[in-house]
Amino acid sequence: MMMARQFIEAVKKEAVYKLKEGTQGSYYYSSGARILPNRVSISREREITKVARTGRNLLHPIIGQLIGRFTKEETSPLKRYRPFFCRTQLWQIPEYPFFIGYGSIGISNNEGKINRASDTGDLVVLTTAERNWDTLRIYYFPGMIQQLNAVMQYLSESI
Amino acid sequence: MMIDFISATKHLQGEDSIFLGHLQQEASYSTGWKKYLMQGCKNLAIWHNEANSVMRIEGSFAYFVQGHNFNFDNSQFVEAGQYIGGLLETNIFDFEIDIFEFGKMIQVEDKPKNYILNHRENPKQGLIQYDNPKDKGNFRRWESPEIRLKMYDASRNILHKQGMKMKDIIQESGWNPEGNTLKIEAYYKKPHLILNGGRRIKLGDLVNPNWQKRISEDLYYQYKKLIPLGMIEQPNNKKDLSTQDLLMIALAEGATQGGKTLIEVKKMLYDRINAIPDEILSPTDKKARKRQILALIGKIHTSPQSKWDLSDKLKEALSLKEQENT
Repeated sequence: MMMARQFIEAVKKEAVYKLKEGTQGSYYYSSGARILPNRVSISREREITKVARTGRNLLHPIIGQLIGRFTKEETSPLKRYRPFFCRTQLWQIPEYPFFIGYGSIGISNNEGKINRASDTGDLVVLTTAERNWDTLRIYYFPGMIQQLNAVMQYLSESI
Repeated sequence: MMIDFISATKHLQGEDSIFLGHLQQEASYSTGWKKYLMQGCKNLAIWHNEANSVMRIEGSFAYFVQGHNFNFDNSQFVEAGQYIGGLLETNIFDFEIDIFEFGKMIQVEDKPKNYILNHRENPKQGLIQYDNPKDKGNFRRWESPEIRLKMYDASRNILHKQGMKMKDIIQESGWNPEGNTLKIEAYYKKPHLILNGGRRIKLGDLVNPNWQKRISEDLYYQYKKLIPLGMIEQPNNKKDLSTQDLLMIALAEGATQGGKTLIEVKKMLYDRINAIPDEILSPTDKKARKRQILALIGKIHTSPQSKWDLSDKLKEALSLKEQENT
């Protein structure tokens, strides 16, 4: 069952990240909600190592990866265990080409690793108005990965 | 079936862990309780007492995930519960219910206000009636220490409490602003006493078929504690149609349509007599007039079937008729 549009709107958070000059994929927080680390690294598909074609990778093509690490000073619901990493593959949804893609945030667990069990189910959706991805708008929906279709429908109609 | 407000508690055991990172802390109390909010269409309150290892969820899942309670089925309730549990990283369906609210919408032919005003408490049933004048007859409640039974004009509630955007959303869900929609709702203050012989009820129980049947039957049972007022019957012989009779029938008819009982009509007239100074009407005169009034009221008959009785409609809405036949 799809969550109601008004609920998706109510839980939506968004932030803008800007590419640091002279880097290929180092983005810094610019404005909006502070959920992800201040600095995140976003690599495009051609730059990342080969990943297994299983699970969600079969469903949607991988377009990149987002990795970040919280500093000692930062606070976030995603900052739980050392070394405070958060990471997700970014998958493209062919039906929504306006968006870069989406991810399901995984965080460091109590052993310091990110694995399937430490996936939070938090959904991020990335979009940009620029071809070179200089500025990214990242939408964040806590616990909403199961509602991907409803969220994409909502975003495509509302932004 | 619609489960609305709930308050449910869990005593956390050693292995239970919860995650509060997605919540906003709202308040902290000297008792050790902290109040958090989970963001939704209407925020849900999450209470946590770390020292005592207790956690409580309070609010309406319907309002949380859709911003209104016009309709909300069990699958939506479960989905909302799974989402809330997902963010808290705990299974909330094993929380024990402290309070919950269960109700049903009914489409009625007349204005909901007329049905509400024409339902009264039965003194023998232990429910006390409360009216707030500012509700102007559109809301009425009956209370006992264990339960609060409510009847209200659901459409008017939406018109007065919701914004334009939400009104449109509710309309898309089937609400007809021109329609006559009445809601009968039971707010269980001590559900374990009323419904489960004193044993605690778990949140997940509420949506299973056995419990759905039990709470549906109880809502009907609670409704049947009320008295739908009957209509005044016109006498069919000349001797019962004197001018005095006609005046009393007209008075009683007006009063009952306004939700008063014949006992209250009698009391109103007695009060009026009692207010007259003894120099004008002696105590003996007053007694004589009261006897006349009693006799006139005694001749008035109300129909055994009340046009305001919602028993059949409620039974049908709660799917209790089918179950009776099978």
